[in-house]
Amino acid sequence: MTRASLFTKTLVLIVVLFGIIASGTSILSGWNLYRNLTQEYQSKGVAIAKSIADSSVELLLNADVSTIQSVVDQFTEIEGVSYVIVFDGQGEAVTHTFVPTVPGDVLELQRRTRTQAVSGAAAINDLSIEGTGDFLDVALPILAGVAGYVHVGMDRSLIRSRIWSAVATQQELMFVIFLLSVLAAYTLVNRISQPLKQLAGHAGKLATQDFSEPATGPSDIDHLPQKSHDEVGKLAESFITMEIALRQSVRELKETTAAKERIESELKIARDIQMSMVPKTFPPFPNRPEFDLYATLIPAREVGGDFYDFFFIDDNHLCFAIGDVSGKGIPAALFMAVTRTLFRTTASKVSRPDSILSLLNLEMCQNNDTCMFVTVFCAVLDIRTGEVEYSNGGHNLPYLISHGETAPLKNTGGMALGFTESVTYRTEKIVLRTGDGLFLYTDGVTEAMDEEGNQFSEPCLAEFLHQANGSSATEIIRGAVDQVKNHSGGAPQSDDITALTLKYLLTAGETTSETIVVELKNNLSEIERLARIADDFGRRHRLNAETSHNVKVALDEILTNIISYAYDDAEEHIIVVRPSLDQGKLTVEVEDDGRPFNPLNVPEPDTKQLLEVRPIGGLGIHVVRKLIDELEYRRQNDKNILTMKLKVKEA
Amino acid sequence: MDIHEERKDGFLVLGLEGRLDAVSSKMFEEKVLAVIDGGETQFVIDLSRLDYVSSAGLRVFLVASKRLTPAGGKVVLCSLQEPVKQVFDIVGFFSIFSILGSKDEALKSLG
Repeated sequence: MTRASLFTKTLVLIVVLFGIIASGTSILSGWNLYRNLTQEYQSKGVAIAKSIADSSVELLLNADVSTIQSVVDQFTEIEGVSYVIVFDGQGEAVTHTFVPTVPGDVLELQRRTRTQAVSGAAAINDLSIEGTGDFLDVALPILAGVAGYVHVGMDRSLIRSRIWSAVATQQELMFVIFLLSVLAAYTLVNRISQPLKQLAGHAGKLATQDFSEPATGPSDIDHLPQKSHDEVGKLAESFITMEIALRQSVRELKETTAAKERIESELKIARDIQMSMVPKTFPPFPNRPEFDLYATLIPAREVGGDFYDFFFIDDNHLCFAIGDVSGKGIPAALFMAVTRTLFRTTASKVSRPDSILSLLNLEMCQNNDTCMFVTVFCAVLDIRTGEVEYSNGGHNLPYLISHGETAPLKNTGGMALGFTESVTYRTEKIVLRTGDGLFLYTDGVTEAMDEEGNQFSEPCLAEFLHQANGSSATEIIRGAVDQVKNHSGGAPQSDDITALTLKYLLTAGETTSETIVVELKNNLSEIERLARIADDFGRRHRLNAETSHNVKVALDEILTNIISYAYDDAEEHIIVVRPSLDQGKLTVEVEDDGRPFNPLNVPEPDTKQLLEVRPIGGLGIHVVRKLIDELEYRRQNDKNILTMKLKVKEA
Repeated sequence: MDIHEERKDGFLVLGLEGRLDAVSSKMFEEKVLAVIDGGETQFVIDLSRLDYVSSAGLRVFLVASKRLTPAGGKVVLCSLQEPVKQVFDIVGFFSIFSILGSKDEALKSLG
């Protein structure tokens, strides 16, 4: 609202009001004046007529016309009297003031009013004389018309001019009042609109104000409520209250925001701490090429309740695990931290997966007031053989990805940890072949939902893992996470996504740091013991059955020979056997302190010979030569050293 | 190593179980010689449960065969496991021994 429009409205209102008032009063007073003047004229006319009649009776009877004329002339001097005419009893105009003759209209009127005036009362008629004007004719009979009649004409134009002049004076007054009203309205509107203008300006400035800071000083509308106690003052007061409330609310908002930011920053730190609790350096053991391991943990919120872990129990055993705490967010994260810590502690005390879970469960059941629980899958891999012993505590069973086949592991039947102390955890065993992988995951992977609430599901995961056969651990994990994210689309992550993949890479006959020295006595019963040691060695190094068998047979032949023929005495002797692996080649050294004997010098038997001519003995060395790729003999420090070398075939 | 002894269709069947190496071959040799000395001229040695054989064990088969053949006797071997078969192959025993796939076949060849 601007002052101009407010004033314009007021002005229009005043003009209309004054128009109505002015025309109303003019009509009313004009009418009143007309009536009063007419009455006054009538009575004046009647009085004059009476006076003339009275004074003319005698004169008329005496026919003293000239005197009557002088009487009549006297009355014409009176204001408003236009004409006077006296008729005698016969209706003849005796005297009159018309120049030069009496108009016909007057005579006509006289004839009409003769009967009228008989009663002796005055007859009043409007008379319009052409070319002269409008008159009020007062006719009075003299001596009841016997002596004659007198007519007095009062000028109506005089009434009109008096009315007009009176109305004009009134209009002039009204105009002055109108001007004064406009002036007063202007002043009033100005007084009202000035604070409004201030308020409008103030409101305009509010938009650009920084409400987070306290007010810089008194504002330009602070005085308004005191100054005006009307609606404008109230409005100004509302403005001031609103501004105070705005500042208050902005300040509170700022504080809330700051608090929220602080919590967020603390959560971010908590996330970093949580993330640092799970191993994140990959590859985790660069000097252990026997396996490939990769894992990831993506919390649904800043912090989550999933965890994974892996570490060496000893040189040859890798423990790895995955877990999922019930719930999400901070409570789950705290419980996860407790679980992860207890897990490490427990695994340092016992090394079998079932023992780890049993002990961990006992710990978790104690002081578990919040009744939270955690599912854990725990496994121990023998790096040398690929054997995995595992135990499950209510967790999703990992998938075994093995040469084109993908299937979940067999369950061991254990329950989630933290429920009850009376749970028995059992183990199962599998043997990973070279290239086999294990995919451990939490339900955040399979239960990831798209926008319609459809889960990623285990068949989808199994299908992906099947396709991913042959990929590295890193590729499998990243691929799985991509699949899950593609599935989810724009839907928010509903649960922590955690997965761990272990691929077994050790190929048969790979170089081992292991040094084995087997010492045997010169007794044939020792050969069977050696066979068992050889079997174990073969299993640990994943030698295939044929290789193991060949080595065993060859060692048997060599040892039998030594024990049977190398010693001339009956003393106890020690025979040393040293197996080793190097780049896919198995080398076995056999060292004895018997008499010098080079088996390589033994002639080849003729295996085509007929039975009748074949010697009974001499087959042992032949068998060794056939089974072993390379044979070397040397005599060193009074000892026979036979070296057998064999190319390893993979199990 | 264990030696099981049974008589089927009138013929003696010696079943070997376990390892036939330098240690056990002595016992096996004694058993075979005792059987031959006892007048058996034709018998079967069932190797279906023999896991392992070394040259010391092979010797016994040769000894047995050498003793029986001149007298018109015969020893038939049957049901060799893969590792045993391999060693037999290496030393060329398939050409000098009668080796059959099953005990029934072995018994039939004698009958």
